Amino acid sequence: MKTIVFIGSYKYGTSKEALMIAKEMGYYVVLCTDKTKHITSNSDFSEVDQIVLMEDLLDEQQMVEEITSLMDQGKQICACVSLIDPYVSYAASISKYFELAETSTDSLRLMEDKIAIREKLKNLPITPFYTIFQPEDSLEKLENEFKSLLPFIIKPPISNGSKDVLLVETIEKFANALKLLKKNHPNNPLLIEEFLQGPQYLIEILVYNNDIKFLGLVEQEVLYNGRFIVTGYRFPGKVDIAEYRSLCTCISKIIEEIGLENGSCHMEMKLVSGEWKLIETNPRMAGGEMNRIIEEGTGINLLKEILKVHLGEEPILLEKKKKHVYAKYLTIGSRGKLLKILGKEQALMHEGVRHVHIKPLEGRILTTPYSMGNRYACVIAVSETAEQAVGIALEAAKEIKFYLEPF
Amino acid sequence: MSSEIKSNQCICDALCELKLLQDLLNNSQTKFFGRLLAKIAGTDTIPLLLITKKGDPLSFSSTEECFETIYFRIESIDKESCCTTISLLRPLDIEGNYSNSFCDLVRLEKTSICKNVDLSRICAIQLLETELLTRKIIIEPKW
Repeated sequence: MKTIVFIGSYKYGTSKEALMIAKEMGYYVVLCTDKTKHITSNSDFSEVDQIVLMEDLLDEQQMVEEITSLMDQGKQICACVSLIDPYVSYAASISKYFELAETSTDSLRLMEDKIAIREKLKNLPITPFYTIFQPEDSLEKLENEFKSLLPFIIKPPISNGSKDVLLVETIEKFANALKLLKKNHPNNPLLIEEFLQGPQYLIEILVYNNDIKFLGLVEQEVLYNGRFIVTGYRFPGKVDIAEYRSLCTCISKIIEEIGLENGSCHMEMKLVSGEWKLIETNPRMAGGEMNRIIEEGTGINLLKEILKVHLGEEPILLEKKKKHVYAKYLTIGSRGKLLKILGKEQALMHEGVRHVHIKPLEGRILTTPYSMGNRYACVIAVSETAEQAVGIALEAAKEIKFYLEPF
Repeated sequence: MSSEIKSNQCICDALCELKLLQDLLNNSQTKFFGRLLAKIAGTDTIPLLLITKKGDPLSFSSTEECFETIYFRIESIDKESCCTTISLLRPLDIEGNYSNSFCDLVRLEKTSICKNVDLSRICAIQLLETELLTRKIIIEPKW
């Protein structure tokens, strides 16, 4: 039985969608997870044929044993994939061990470490000014050294969903930020980089046999409330021809430099006074509704084509349509216990609205956003123009109401 | 004393005790902590249902304000005649709209509409959480 092994998945979003797509492609779907609740609430994972519960998914020896055991049961393992951090390059290395179709393990691993990737790309013009704060460095030394560089960004080398990415505007804030990050990431070096002003974009990339087969440009709307939270995605991102060409050149150079021959990734970049600057890279498709955004805009099921690359097949990326898509993510401004959610059906009734997702269940405690995980609903609208798509999504999103009791 | 008179007296005594507690919420003033109790409770009302001898909750309508309710606040008791004056509490759903469905009840709102009840009709008292009077609902996101 042709089988795909997935390492880790969230309950919704890209990683969950990958399980469904694999099932639709006719594969026997195995999910290795360290979340016991994935077993108890099995209905959430109805597309999964077999769940393998492991205490530590990064226990390579046990992972090899589990997969070997699947093979002994007659399963033909065709791919081992992960679409969540920190298992992406690890899944690639497991694939390599079993001599499955290979994605570029070293390149994926490099992208998992924000410091390593900065070091690798430090000579490219897309790299902003950065420095590394070592655990043994004194605050005084850095204060003197970087006073003139304020404001800047400070972040841990390994994190996702904008967790602990802090903007430092004053020396006082620098001390506070360091305190917080050292607490959450003890003994880790920290990355300090210049804060860039300009529109921010997410670029979805699929590479097959050294050829960039897909490059999707998505403009991000970022809310800053002490953390950076993306609250809107416009596809396709609007840039002029020269900027797009320059972007393609930059991406090609980055891909070449990091040696991504086969695999997918997404990058976040800013356009600063006409020049592209790299914010960060991630060795996987973006989470949340990214696959749906691209599919609504192009007709391409990018996630399916990514899985094909993992299966050693050539991806087919033919645009079947050209639409403007806007995804609006909702956050809230006060903390409370969720009593009721209203408006999903009304939001769906707006013409052009393709999808409405409400994340939390009643009874959960909701907060103002500290990371992307604190975005509680998403409305996706499609239209012939970007302005129309934005207008439809915003009007529909206004139908959604979270009723909270202060907590 | 017949059992019925005994029962009426019992309901009457229970309501008197409840009124005493309710008054404590609002009027208690202590030496060191002053009106702390009122602050903790956040309300001067212990909401209640009165169950009739037929087994149904007693219900009143307000023709002037167009609502019906089974939720009351005790205002006064006449022990002599075994009668009580209650004020009507307006039941509200999560959106702050009047709803007489028990399942939709999220909040109670005081009104000044009073009714007299002959306690010989009542066989039980059901107390409700005072939180129903103090509950604050936030609607998010704000646009």
